[in-house]
Amino acid sequence: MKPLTSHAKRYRLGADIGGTFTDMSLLDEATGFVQIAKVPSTPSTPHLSVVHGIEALIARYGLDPAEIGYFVHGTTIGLNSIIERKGAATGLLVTRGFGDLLDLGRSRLPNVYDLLVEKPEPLIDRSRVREIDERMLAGGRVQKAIDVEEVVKAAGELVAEGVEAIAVSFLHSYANPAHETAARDAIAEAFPGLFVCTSSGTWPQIREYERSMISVTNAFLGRRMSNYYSNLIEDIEKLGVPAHALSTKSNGGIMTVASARSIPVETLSSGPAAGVIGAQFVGACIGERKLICLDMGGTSTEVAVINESILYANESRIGDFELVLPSVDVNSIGAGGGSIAWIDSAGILKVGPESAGSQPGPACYGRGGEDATITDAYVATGIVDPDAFLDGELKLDPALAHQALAPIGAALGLDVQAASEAILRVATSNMYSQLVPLMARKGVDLSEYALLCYGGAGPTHGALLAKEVGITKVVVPVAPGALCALGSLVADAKSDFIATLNRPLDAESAGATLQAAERGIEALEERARGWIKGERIAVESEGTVRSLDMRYHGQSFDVTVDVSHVDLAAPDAFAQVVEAFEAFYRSVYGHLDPSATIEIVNLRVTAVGTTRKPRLAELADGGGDGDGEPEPRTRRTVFLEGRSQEAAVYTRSALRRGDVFCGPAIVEQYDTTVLFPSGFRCRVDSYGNIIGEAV
Amino acid sequence: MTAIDFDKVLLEILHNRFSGITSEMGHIVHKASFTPFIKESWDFGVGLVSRRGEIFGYPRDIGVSLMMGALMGDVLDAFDDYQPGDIVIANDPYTTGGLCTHLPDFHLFKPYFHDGKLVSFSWAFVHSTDVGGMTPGSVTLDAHDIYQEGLRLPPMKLYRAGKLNEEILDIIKLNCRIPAHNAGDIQALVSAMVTSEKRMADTIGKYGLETVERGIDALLDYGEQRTRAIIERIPDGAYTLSDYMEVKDGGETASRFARINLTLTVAGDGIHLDFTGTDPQVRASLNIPTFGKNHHFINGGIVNYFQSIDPSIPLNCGVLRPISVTLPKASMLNPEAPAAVSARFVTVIRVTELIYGALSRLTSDAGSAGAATLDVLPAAGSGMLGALLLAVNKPGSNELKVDVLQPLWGGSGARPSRDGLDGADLSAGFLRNIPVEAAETAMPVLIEQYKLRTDTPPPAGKWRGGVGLDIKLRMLAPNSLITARGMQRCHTQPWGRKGSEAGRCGNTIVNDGRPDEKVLHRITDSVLLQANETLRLLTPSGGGYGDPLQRDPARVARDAERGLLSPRDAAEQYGVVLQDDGSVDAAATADLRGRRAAEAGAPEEFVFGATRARLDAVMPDACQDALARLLQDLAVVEKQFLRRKAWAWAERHAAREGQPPSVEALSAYVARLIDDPAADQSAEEEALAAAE
Repeated sequence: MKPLTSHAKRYRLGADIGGTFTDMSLLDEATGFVQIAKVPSTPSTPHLSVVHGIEALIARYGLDPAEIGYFVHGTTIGLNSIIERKGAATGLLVTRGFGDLLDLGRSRLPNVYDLLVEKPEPLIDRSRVREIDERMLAGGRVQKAIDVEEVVKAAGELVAEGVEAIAVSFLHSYANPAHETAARDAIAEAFPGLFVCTSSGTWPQIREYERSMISVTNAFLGRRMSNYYSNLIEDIEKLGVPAHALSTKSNGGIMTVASARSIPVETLSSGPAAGVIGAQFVGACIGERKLICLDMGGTSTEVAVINESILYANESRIGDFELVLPSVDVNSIGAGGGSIAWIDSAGILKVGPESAGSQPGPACYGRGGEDATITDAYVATGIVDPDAFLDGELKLDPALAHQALAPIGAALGLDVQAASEAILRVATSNMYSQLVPLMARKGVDLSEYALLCYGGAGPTHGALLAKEVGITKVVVPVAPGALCALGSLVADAKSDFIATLNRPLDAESAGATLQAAERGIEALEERARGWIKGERIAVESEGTVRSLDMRYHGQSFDVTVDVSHVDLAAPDAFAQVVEAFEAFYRSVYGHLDPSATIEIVNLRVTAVGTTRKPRLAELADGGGDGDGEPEPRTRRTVFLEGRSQEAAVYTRSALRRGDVFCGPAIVEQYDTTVLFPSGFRCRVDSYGNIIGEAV
Repeated sequence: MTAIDFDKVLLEILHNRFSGITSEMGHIVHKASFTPFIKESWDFGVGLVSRRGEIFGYPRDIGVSLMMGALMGDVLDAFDDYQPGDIVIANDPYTTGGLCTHLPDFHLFKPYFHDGKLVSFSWAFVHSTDVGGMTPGSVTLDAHDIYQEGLRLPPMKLYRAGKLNEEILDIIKLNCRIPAHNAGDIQALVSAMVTSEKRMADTIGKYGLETVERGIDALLDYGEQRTRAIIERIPDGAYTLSDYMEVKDGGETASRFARINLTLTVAGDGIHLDFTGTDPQVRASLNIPTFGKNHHFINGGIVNYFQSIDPSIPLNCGVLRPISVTLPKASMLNPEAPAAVSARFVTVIRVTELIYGALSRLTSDAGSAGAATLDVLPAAGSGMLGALLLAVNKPGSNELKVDVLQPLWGGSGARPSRDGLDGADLSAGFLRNIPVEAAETAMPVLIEQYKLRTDTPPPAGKWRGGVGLDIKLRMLAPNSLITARGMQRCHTQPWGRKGSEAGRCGNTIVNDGRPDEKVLHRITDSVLLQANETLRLLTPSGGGYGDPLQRDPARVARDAERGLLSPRDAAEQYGVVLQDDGSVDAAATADLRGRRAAEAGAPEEFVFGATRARLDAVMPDACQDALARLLQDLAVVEKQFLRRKAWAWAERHAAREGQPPSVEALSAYVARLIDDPAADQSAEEEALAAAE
């Protein structure tokens, strides 16, 4: 069948619908030149954000929508639905005796110090959970057969109560999905049009709560996301965009919107994931293989790690919940530019964790915010020019920033500038206290890495953070504010498949275990190949990655070990799998447990359809000898390191390949302000990236 | 109050640094440790310690919350010849001055030198699965001295100037049931401490030694100042509150229950906790070895209180300086060696709840405008924290297989502005339950039910208590030995507040609903079951808060909609009339509530329930206090003996007279026995008389 996507037309269009802004990235297939636009998001009608973005591109660059041949977008509406509990009225069918599955969860409280702590409110209320008298045993043998009439009756009650979607999750369905399938079929027949999904059909992994949460979340999101996709497709067709719409995924891949409709749960952290894909793409262009990706925006600061390849996680935090779907490993280290500065009862300066968010935002936004934020401190120290923000499209008010900062200064006995710089130092140390332990958790030695900064404030704060944590190289890509949108344009078609095996891997049982693993993986690979074909996204090559979740017996956590290189049917497979496990285990935990038996818990296959990658445009030569210092557009006084300093101010679009300059320097561009303090020597590479190194 | 003489920006920067450094240590321990339980329960801790033994850096995001005030002063003094590369190890409570509180916790600490000068210590501990002793896991209620609880290590240098003393490790390995795990866990602690030294060096490199040293002192002063500011807002006053631990099941009353008595006094910016009146140390492992100090297992709950009021308070020992304690010698809360201590944590929970209760008398009626923010203290929760273990033979083999099926806790107490937590407790907030699918895969057992209790309605109140768990297991193999430790509140209900209902007791039922049904109430040790026999465990539900007639009727309707409450319960407990569609009949409700309010008496401040009333009818507080005074200077066995005699005498007195003895009569009886322990033969005489 003919692919649904092509690269025959002039442009690829990427859109990233965030909470505050929607970023657009328009890539010219022939030249690799990227143009960007940023428009305010419209949370109540999210599809319009994209329409406005395309209109902005038409207005700014004279884009002809008919020339868009490839269109990928990511959105936070799924995430917001979870956070705000605004999804479909959803019901849940569970095994008898487990009606409180969602209420009880895994039990750990969100805050162990707070006596007023509350458990997260489940997506489905207890009154919409029905117990079904059926039971599978651990091996998948039926202990109590299902009666589908009971299922239809329970579903009927729920439908009568107004339920629009039903998730079915029975114990041990990962081992034998028969009961869940029978229940789903019976419900689908009795109530056509109802959104029904099963835990085994969505993500068949052992651990009943975690597995249920995937299907529950999916059912909860289904209708709203589906409506959104319909509206979006209709609107971009009206604008004359011929491209088939694709969606980004939490695993850093893309899929067709048709797939996204049935499995919206896979889009939940797609925005940050796409940013890391963009970072990886930039890193590959410039030969940086070890990167800390820093995405700092108005409401959050997030980091991810690229160590040759992107670090993935088997679970991610979505609002109040942990979801066990594979995703790019992105972690929050703070609240971003909106973080509020305040003075505690002992007179000590604090920053965060409260944030002014996007509404009302920092004081200088003039939207009624009265608290001093990090962004206000950027303005008051002179780092950010209030008139240059978004090319002047959003004017910042320095007087309001000063007004908000004055009480902080008074309490500290400092003038507003010095107090502002103090706020930035404390904010940086906040990030230190989050980033350093996080990297210990990932087994990352920061001194071996470069920091790639993006998001609206990443390039402003990145070099300050690098200095604090001992990173000596900082990379600022060409369009840091739209890196997520760019990432979506270079992402591969990708999907993950899982099956639980749960067998020991010792000398005695290795033969049978590996045979079963091989059979299971082959079945997953068949589905993986079918998935790529079914997506009909134009790809240059297709492949699968095989991995095993393994652990020592008795452990409650496992590690995912890539075994693509191992022929599981070969005579030495046992030794090879053990070797792969031990090498990986040692790299993560620093030791082995020779006394323990190894177990294979889950089998995993990832389908990858590699899409055609564009070549980014190279900058014009500066004309000089390749390391000339460009003439600053202007100079201005900034307050840094406890004193006023003269900083050179450059315009990003005026920088040329080979330009070299030293901090303190500021580079202004449409989507951000870049700061390099003293001690950094920066050069502009052939793609226009600024690479600052500590000297 | 100590004024902070330090840069107010740099102080916060150092605070963040130390918090980051210790959090990194925590994550290293979490990753590198072997014991599976550590990964799930976070039963480990790390910190940075001043030369004087005060923790000045403690992580917020990982590890146990209670150890921030770990007492290091005495144990640091165990050596006066520290040199770079030394690492001290210890696990014995009685030689570490209150740092170690039971033997499974291995504590390590390492002096940090900068340019030859001792600057600080790093410290880390981990709860290892097993350190030997009479029971696998080394925690058993039945131990009556510490020798039964496992290997004891006084402070010893595991590393001397960077050189490992292998012999110490060999001793540990030989005395533990899972030696590879212990050795691995200890290595994980060492890695964390070594990493912290690099970060300390980096911090001193950036800010200078003198600044960092002053900063450490300033941070501790800062912690103190922040908490004194909170205490100052609490109205001055004192309140006395007592409660009972469940010690043994069966036998005479004095061995079944032990009293903890607290008088809490707030004066200005300080809090004093006086536990005079607490019963002598018990012949079970519920004693907390505090050495009579301001100990983290006594004051830990106050830290949570401060954190609830103001989450930005730093985590360091300075915050505990405003607290002082009185802990009677040879009591449960200050035992003499060699009292057993392994299951002390449930006692810690009871102490914490007593502090919350007594303090809440001062915060809940404060009246002033800002006081509402101080009033966050809950009614008593499940008081239980334990684990349900199954030991069975592997099919066709004589090899024993042991695994945790579920950790055990109940519902939390209601809060002054919120309901209690259902199926979760504030004292067990860091634990995770175990997937039923994983447990059934690992062990031959069918978990037929794991859900919220609905056998009784939630404990009523304006804010209702959190409901406990209802767990039912069916054994699939012969000789299935179920062990449960840490079960409490199966006889004494969690107390409620201000006219609410008390919480519900836990219960244990074998073969529930069958002709051979057996009600056990509580498993103190273990129960042996055969294939197809069932065990049902109901964990306690927390106490309510406030008058049920004042509960928002919409909340009552909601509990009914959620299946926790019947319409009849709604009417009986809350005076709320629900219509057939589940909605509130406002007029009928107003009418019913009006009639019920007219009948109601004044609300009780603390609602203890039936068992406590029976105990009070024998030994009211005044008798208990008099008894404690008489026994206070006696030797341990004398205290234990006389307390038993006094209880037995008082019970006979109460049965005979229909009222408890007077303080004078009880005192006279005890005084006679102090002079001559053999003076009272009345029990034997009465028994003889009854026989005739």
